[in-house]
Amino acid sequence: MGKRLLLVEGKDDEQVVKHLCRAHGIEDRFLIEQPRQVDGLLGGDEGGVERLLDQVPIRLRESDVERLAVILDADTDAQHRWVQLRERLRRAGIPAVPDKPEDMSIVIDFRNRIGDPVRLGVWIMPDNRLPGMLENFLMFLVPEGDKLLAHVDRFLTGIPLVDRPFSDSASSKARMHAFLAVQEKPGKPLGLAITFCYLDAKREYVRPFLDWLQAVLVN
Amino acid sequence: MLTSLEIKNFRTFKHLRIERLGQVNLILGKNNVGKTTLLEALQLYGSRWPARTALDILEGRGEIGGTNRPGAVVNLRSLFHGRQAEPGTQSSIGPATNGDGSRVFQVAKIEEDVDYDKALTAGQQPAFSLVPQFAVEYRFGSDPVSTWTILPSRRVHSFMAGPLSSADMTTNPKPPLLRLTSAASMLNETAVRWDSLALTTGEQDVVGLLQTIAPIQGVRYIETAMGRVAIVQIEGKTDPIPLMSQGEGTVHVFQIAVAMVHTAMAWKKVAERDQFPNMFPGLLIDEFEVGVHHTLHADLWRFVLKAARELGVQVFATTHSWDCVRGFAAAVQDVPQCDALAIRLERSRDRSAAVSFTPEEMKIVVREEIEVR
Repeated sequence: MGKRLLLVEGKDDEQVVKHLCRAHGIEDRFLIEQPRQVDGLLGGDEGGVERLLDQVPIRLRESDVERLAVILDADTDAQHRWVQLRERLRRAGIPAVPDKPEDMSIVIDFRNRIGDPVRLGVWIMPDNRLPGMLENFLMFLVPEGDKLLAHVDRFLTGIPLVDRPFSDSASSKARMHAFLAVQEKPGKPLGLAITFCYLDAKREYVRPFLDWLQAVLVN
Repeated sequence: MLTSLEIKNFRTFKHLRIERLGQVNLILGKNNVGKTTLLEALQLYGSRWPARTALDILEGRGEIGGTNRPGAVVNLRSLFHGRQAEPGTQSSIGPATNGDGSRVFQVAKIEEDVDYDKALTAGQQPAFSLVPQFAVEYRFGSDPVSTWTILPSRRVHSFMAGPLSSADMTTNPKPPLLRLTSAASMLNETAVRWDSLALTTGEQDVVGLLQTIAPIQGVRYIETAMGRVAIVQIEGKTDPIPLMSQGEGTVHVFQIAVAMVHTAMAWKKVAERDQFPNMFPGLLIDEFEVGVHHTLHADLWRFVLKAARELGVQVFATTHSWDCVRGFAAAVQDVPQCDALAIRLERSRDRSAAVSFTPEEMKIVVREEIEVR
């Protein structure tokens, strides 16, 4: 069997996928890779998107790769993110790259140089349509009947703009981490929060994502 | 320069097409995908004397041997894919763009059942060298067909068409295409090649190339109890010192420099370029990593890239080593506008394919530790 690879932007994405798979009994017989950190001290994902986009056409030519799944953040525009990747794929001569994703997710089947089938899947967080990132996706996993989030939101909106250091684009990140900061065991990282049930892996919203993941990497 | 390559029905390859070749090509791939066979195909394509080259290749692989023994069977079948060879079977090697530019080998005749021992004891005509066992014709484009025939008593007899006589084969043994195999035999070959550069501008070219890595001002070979040994003159030193003492990296650079300069000079002397459009100045290196310390790869590649450009020599090197890949990637970033490619050969069932990576892509390959071998 060939190599099955999942490319993500950072450690959080990797952990979320692992814990979601565990919660649903999905065997993760695939490798998860993220862009190597150029400066170990930074520790963040600075420039991670570009480095991830750039390596997709090359990963498709990695030795023995038969399945490649890519999870990207939409950030401000899911369509723009897709176009960025699409152009790189077309430049690399990958056939049958669609103009725009018709469905929620993207799955492309083609044959590599030696004639073996390769499947490429792309998921743009949170749902291939909305702007946002991993944390926006996770917001939908807040358990039904949760009472904490309202308190968290009151706290966040209570911060006067002049004192608020984070930008609008980071507000879902602040919201999710603030939410996890006030759980029974405060400050669990994003993936572990699923296993601790602070985030509900069984919510309906997760289904399309897991279907996509299984179609690309498992089935 | 060969800018693309198509191989049909040759040894491992039923069909291999490489759309683009660089001036410097690093050939990657798993065992048995045909890395060595690719070098053999290039060797045969660029050879002026394919009959001899074909036998050298098969002997080098240990596939034939003892060919001087009367009655020895030389099997040329393995030159053809799947060892399937019938009269009329063809293999071809050439640029992917132009079928006419290919070198074609075709089985003309097979007589493998001749019992030479019986023929000898029966006191028959001892000149059984006239009995062909396996005849292969080769042609280049629309050139007249030449035939080589494997004979039981002599290794090979070649009926040359065109301007070359078989005497040329021995008196002019300087092909513009060289293959470097193992480090051990390279030492002797390097000495012979160095001799052939004696008192030519090639000598200065080699020293000039060496100076990019060490303050070496001159090289001589001297006779010692251990055989011929290269000594070098170092800037600011009164006495010469053995080249070996400069470290393995320098020895490697010297060997490659001599081979490249030798190739470039041999190419200049090729008078019949029009008649042999298949010939090109090339250097084929098996297992580039052998004998190279992992810290030296980048330096060695930088050297090869620059020398290839300066001398106009095309380089094909195979490797299994990640250190070699990393060194290559680092070097192609440092040498601006170098025409280099990493090419992985793949094989699945009976299919072969080539997957290429540009210098820009190699940068990402190494940064992200992507497995391309």
